[in-house]
Amino acid sequence: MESAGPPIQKPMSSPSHRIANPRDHDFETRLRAAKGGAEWAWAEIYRDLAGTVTGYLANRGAAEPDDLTSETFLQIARNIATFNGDESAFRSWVFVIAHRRLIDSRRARQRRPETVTLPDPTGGGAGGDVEEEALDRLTTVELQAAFEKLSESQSDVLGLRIIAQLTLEETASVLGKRVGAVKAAQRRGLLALTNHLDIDGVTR
Amino acid sequence: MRFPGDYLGEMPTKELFDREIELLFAGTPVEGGRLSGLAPVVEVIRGQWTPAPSESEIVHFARSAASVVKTTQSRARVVTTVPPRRLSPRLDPTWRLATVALAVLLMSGTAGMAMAADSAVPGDALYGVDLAFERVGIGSGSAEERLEEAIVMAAQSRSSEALAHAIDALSKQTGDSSVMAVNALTTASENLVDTQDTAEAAAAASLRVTALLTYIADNIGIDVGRDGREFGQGVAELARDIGKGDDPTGAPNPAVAPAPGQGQSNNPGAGPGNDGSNDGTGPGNGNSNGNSNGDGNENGQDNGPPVESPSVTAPSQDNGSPVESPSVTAPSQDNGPLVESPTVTTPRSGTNTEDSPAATAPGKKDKP
Repeated sequence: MESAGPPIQKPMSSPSHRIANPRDHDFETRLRAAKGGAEWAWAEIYRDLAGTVTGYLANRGAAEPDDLTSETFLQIARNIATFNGDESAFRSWVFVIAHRRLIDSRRARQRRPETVTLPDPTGGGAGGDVEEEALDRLTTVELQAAFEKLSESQSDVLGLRIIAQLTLEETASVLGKRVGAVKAAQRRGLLALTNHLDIDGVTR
Repeated sequence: MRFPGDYLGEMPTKELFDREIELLFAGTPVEGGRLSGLAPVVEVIRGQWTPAPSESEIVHFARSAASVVKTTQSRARVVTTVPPRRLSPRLDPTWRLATVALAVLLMSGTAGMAMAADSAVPGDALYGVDLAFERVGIGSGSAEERLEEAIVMAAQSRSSEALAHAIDALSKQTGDSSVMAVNALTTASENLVDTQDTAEAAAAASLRVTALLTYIADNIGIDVGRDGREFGQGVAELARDIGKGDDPTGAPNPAVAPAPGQGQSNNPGAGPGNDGSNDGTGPGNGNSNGNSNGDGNENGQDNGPPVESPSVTAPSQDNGSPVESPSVTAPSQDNGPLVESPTVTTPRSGTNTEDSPAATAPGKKDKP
């Protein structure tokens, strides 16, 4: 395995909240390996991102989130040669593709997102705390409903910020918006969420 | 980054709120802030709405992706090239130059059309054009090309169509490997019928079909002796896999170790160091640049002579295709603009769902 890579590029924006990243060089290596068709690299990429991509797609009303996830990642594999950049840019790129896939599939179905099919959050929690399970389930159902009441751009932004865990700048670049617009959307979206969920400052 | 609480108080409301939001998303919400009630919500969403992929799913994807990358890599080429657009004949004193440039423009217009059509798959608007071009000898129309089309179809979750397309093409071929491939593909079609029950299974099957077709495309033509047997076993295994449930973990992996002697990739088990000049980290796009040079075999691909693929002889699929040559050679004198050209893309990108966003500018929404 080659360790001496080219000089690490400066990150476009520094992700402030994701686990502080001592892995920049790792990413560089991984990207090179992925471009060379190394399976381990693709496994790592998929392990890192598939969950958030599926979650994002499901939350945004994809009818078949798993299918779309496969398509997204296959497209990433086909186009990896055209990608240059750091890990942050890569995450953005992945979600650009996922987002476009989502829009394409919606267009193909000629309908707006309807019901969100979320993975069963409490799937087979063998005899756990029943009350807590019920609470979680309630929360999920409520959350889902609350999300559906948001405007399209608010859901886009909140989906990318919360589920995909992108930074402000990354989110802006995925959606082709200005950072200011993203900020405004998330302010309104979060306030709307608190209202819909009837949360006031101190819950739990 | 942390923002001390006392500092917060001095900020204008809006910015204060933005800080609060950032802290919420960072998992360290401000105690008693307007958004602290959302903290558990964020936690629940992040914990439960992002299903971690299963190990078998990961392994399977990794396998498909690796073979897709290798196939794409060995086929990568410039689909459309627009000659440098600085010609303004009226102002240019050298009319002759302008005329030549115009001729080049016209020629590569046709060639560009041929190439755009060349990457069409059945179901695309341009597919008819593709076939027409092939009838007059532009674009090989070889079994190999049909296989490429089938791979794209499989990746579009059109598994059964893809298999039928590939069977159709290969059954016109002679040679042991074609026969083996057709057998395997037939098995695969039969298995496929059983797996289409759920969307999940269909997606998994689509990946498997992609892997099978990619393996065939990479290795067909090697039909003598031991290698031939290896090929036969490889395709048979992959075909059997399609009937399996969702656990490709235990399956042997012929796709990683293609039979020796294949003409298109010298990266069989590519580690990170194997990609040499193809890593794209240099200025511009290493991969397509290398291919656009016409003679650019920097990738080391296609170093096996076509002699090695006797049964499906389609050397024109590779770098030296007659289709590519007009427009590939034309701009090769001028690589600068070509590299930046957004039209550089991988082959088979002619479908409507396909888009290759420029990696360096992900914010551009060219398909709103």
